[in-house]
Amino acid sequence: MNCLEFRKRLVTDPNNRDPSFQLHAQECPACAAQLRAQTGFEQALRAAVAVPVPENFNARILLRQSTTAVRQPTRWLALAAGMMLAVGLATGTWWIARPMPLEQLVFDHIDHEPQSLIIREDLRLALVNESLHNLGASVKPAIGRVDYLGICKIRKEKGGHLVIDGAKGPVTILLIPGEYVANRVSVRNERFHGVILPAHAGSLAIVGEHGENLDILEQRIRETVTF
Amino acid sequence: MDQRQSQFQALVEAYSADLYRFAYWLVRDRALAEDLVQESFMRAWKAIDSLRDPKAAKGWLITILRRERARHYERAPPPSDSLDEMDLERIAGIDDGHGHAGNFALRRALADLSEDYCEPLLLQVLGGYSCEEIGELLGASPGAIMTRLSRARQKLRHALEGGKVEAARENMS
Repeated sequence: MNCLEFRKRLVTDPNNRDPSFQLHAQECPACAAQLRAQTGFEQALRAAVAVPVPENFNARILLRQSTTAVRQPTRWLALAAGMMLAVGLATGTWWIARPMPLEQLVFDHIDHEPQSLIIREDLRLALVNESLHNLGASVKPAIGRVDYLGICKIRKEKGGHLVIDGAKGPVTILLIPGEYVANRVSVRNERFHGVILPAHAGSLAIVGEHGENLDILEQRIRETVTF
Repeated sequence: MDQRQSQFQALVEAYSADLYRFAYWLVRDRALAEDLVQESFMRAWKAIDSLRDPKAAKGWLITILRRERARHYERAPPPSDSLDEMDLERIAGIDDGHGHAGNFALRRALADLSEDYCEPLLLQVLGGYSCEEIGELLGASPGAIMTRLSRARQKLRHALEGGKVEAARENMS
């Protein structure tokens, strides 16, 4: 390798391990000096490129993946959905499909994530707030222990799914972006009861077991959750 | 934990930081970089069975990330302005042992590099790829990649030398 080839290589691939490159540096003092200068520059470049990675980044990726993994429809469900659509199209009844009412959306979402009512993670508040940051949401420490957090697709947009401790059991809080209610709405099914509240970015649902005192919960959540 | 889950977790632990840095310098926006990497890993998870050779994982993830970024810019074209000043101040202030001024100048210059120069340089510095491999990833000839890498380094060196001169002037005044 001659000096010209060496210097060309130095600025295009300075970290190469080509023996002829190393040999030339040993034999040519001028090129060796160039190599030392370039090595210092490469160290500075690596340091400059290495911007800090967000805190708990891996945990958030894995958290989101675990939620996605649970919510992915199985193949037979997708097949069944396809068949229902085909039947609907064939019988001309497809047009009666309407968006699911918000109340049903809330209960269905909880039903589709049964693990959310079982998992007891006691998540760090900083991690919760980092995950909620992109939704424009945050929670204060007075919310108490957060046992579950999911960033889930609710209807069309990503929303927040938290579970906190209630007096009668786990209490679900859904932050639903882009779905607006004019007033406070009470909701109920055979297992749960709750409220859907108007929020700045959409609506906020609070759902607990029958017997859970919703007034106390609502006050606590209004004081501690920003959305 | 099943095998797919273990494999995915290993990929996240091994490559998330470099992917984030790669995304950050391409989009120059921390929140967007984080979103792009998260979306890329979700796509990787869905397609993880198609990854046959673990040695190809990094290139596979980079390709997914580049596609994800292209998809994002199809929906929302990139802003014309460069790196946010506040953001740059924040990241430039981190001590890396090479002096604040030099670091700032280099990061400023990186942020100002056009994508043609920045992307191959990032692939080399973060990914450790050769010119041939970068050419394959970017769909360019090795010769073209060598030219871009050489010019990118030239621009950055000028900026770094400029930064040191500025620092010396500040120290003297």
